[in-house]
Amino acid sequence: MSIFKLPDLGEGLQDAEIVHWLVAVGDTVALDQPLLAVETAKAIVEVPSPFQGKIKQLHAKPGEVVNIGAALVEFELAEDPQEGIRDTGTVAGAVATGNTVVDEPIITRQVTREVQKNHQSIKTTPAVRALAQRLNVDLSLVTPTGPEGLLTIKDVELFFSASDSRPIVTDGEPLTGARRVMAQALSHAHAQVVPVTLSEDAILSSNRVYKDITVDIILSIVNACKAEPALNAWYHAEAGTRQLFTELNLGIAMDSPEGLRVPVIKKVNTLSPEEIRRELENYKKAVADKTILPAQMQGASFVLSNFGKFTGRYANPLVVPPSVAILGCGQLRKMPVVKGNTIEVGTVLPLSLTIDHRVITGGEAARFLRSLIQTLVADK
Amino acid sequence: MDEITLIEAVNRALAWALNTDPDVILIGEDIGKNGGVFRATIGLQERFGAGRVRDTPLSENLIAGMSVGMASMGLKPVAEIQFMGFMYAAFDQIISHASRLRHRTRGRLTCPLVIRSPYGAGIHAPEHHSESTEALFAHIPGLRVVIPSSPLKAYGLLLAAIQDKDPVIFLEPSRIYRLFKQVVPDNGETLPLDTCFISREGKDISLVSWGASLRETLEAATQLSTQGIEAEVIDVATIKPLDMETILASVSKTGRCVIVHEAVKTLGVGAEIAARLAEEGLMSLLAPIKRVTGYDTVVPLSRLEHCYIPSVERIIGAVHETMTFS
Amino acid sequence: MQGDTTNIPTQVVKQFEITYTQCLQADGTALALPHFANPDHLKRLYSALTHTRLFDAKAIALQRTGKMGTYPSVLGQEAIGVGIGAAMSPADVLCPYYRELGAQLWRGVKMAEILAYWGGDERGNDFSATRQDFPICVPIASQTLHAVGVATALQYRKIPQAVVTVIGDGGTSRGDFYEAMNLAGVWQLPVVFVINNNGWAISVPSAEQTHAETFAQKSIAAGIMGEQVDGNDVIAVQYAVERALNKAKMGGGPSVIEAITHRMGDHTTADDARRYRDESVWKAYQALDPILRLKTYLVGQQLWDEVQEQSCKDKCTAEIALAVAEYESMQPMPVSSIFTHLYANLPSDCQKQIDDAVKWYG
Repeated sequence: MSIFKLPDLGEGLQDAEIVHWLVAVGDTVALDQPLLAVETAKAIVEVPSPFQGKIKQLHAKPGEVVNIGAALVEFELAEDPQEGIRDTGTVAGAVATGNTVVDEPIITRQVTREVQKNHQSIKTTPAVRALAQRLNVDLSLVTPTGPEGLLTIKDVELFFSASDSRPIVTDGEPLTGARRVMAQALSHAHAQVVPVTLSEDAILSSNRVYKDITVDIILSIVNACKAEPALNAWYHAEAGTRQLFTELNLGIAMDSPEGLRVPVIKKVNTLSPEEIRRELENYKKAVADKTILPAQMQGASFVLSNFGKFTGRYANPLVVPPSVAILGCGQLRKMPVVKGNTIEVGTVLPLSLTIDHRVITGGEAARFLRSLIQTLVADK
Repeated sequence: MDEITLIEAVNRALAWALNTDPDVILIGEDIGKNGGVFRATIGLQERFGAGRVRDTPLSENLIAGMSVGMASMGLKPVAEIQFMGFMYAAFDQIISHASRLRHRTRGRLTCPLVIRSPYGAGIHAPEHHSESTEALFAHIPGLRVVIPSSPLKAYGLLLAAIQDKDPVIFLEPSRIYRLFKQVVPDNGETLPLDTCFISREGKDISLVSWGASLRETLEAATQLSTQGIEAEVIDVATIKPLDMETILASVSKTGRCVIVHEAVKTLGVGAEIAARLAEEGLMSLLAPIKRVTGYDTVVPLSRLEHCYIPSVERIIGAVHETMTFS
Repeated sequence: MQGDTTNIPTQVVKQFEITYTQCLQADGTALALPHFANPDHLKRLYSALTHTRLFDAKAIALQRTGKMGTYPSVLGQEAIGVGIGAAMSPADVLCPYYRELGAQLWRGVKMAEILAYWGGDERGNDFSATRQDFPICVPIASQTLHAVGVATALQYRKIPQAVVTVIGDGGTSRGDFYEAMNLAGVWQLPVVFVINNNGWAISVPSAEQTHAETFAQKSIAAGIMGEQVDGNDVIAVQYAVERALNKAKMGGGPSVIEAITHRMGDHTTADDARRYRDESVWKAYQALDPILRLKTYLVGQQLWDEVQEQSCKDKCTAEIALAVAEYESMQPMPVSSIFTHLYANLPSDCQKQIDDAVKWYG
């Protein structure tokens, strides 16, 4: 059984008037055979049969106005299946059925996970977050002072007024490349290492010609490492192990517009002064040309920072794990020095040695520095 | 092991309970020969007898009240109310008696009963057949209100509800009775009550829902994932008592929450969840909590009911609004 | 069909009748006595009536002196409760409304428990005896549905016991009552419905509750036999209830008994019946007093005298005093107890609220 309803005849009309029927009850009609003529506001059109079958009932008489969608003709289709008693599975409405098989994990809090925190390590209220957003304050930089670590409105305001008084040259920009590596490495170093800095002046010998003071310092480091091998080492804090080296891989801190670079002169203890100078020159060029390779900056077992060629006397240079010590050299200068019971003008090199106190004792540090100075100031 | 629909899972859970516990008795209207108006109990009277699967006279108040009496004697009545819209006639017994019998007798008399009822819109049914008024029951101390969202949940949670020592209102979303299938081992294993389920893990936003709306919520999560938003979807399952710990833990991870339910907005269970998040999880919130719910009006008849049920698009819209806060 | 005078023949398809039973008339003369009415039992009934009335008076006194909360007096209606109590066996189950004091006391509910309940302590419902009995039911008529549930359980488990549920005349106006009777009829449940027709639902007289001539006939719609008894005649009440219980236990199904009595007191201690009831009504009720008529009968039979009367009252008074002392010495439960029996296993969700309550009130 099928019912044909008056279709929308494509003119946006709501209804149509039946002009006359072209078929009668009992007729067998073919598909698309004209069934009736209807008059719309614009024309009289013949409506074809959408089915092939027998006319069972006509629902409207000529002259009647029929709404779009209303039943027009009832057909008995040729292959009308006899409907048996079919269970709809409900007493009211229609329950949609589907055969899709759905996988479902059964997870409850108890068996799944610990709460992970990310941004939520900042404990604060929406009002504070809104204020921070308005003032463009990065909440991770603000020190909370409220109860139990709560970050308060006051904290944001204070931070903002403090930062606001600093002239800002550029907008915040993400760190990249060497500068980003520097930030990460030194943050890490700062968080891990227990630094102790020991400073002393080396009064250079007046009986010796220092042709290349940097190379002389390096050679002195080589000697000092022999005297006190604890400083030529790596400390792996996670594993709790210390590695002592017989060869010295010396990192040389070099400044560059991109940030700090520390190329490593491998086995510097096996090189002649000329070879050392050549290595230094090569590295300077490579850093300036930005051709230095990552591999050339790895494996330092001791680091030298010769900041004195710019300015400065003493410093507290930072040890970068896994190495355990760094030597900073200040600016070479003429100074009054006491020799016997008289004061003379001497050439003085201020030295600052930082060690990781977790693995190096104060005594080891002091003996290292003493040995280094002795070599450096020897008459030769 | 075959794949079955939610309604078949209900049927199997009932059969398992009848088979393993002689105290379990099914009562309701048309649940015998006819197998219930949705066929949840089909074949059960034939299998377990008219003493275990009983057609009652047509009175929801009677069904609830006699359940209280039966339960006080140690039976475990599992009653069917044909549609949630007819449950209001049973309100007095559920609220005045079932929920408080244990409390008012200091544990002397208890009320281990289950009242099952199909609920929710989306089946083009006549008036009063499309209600989702679960909040009315969730308001009542002493009750459990459990809502499965899949065949697996229906089987495990219904068995747990029957084994529970207290009254449980078990609301079955009729819209998904036969919508999809799952492999459900018929082994009598329960799922925990009073516990949310994590239907999907994610880090960006917590979507909290239950019942039929979980389907749209999961679909929204899938679509959001293609936009780079990883939503965690929580199936609350037991809306009374609420497992706020799971919801709080999720929101402390994501900082955002959208609650989806078919029931009206005002004083819906979503309001309680939002209030509790505000009370206990405010410090975690990066954005306002949003609710995608049925509108505060009478659930429309079939022509417009699709405009009432929260859609995938409305859920995604709410998520996008929430994500604009950073 | 106004004006249609066509004589269409009809036939009577079913006729119903409501019987009325009375054993002891208001003046104390016996009409006929059942087998259980031996002197010892009648004296026991009389003592129970006296005990109930004295305890009732004490409860009102406690309320009037601020030692207890609102309480519904059973003054004048003691015979229904006592008659029911005497008819039931201990393993039967009582689903009362709130004027079955006599039945509860007979069944072993402790006076201290009853005082505790009306004094605002849920432990009063944790009866040390009659563990299956329901506590009194406040929402009118809803207890009748519990009764058919309990009866279903008894029938399912083939336990040869029965349930008694009591409802007031006003309660029969609620659907619950019909719904319960209807199921009891269909399933032939072992349950006895007793209608305590005391003439008043708070201020509304029973004539305004129904146009039916009797409350008992309401049972006919459910296919159950209904009858009336003189509710001020404890012997008749016991006789009718006992007979109905025996029938139920033999598989004979439910019964409905309308026990006609008179509420001599107020609805509760919070009510003042003088607002809606004429004094003359109260005077008429006094003449029908259930205790007076049994005493008249016993004295007439030389089974009772003033010495026994005094000794009975002294004994009751002493027992009541002990119960009151026990009630008054009862310490309130800790505040956390408001959650302890909410669920078998308390949901973790409640813990924070318990902590809060303990913080403020613990």
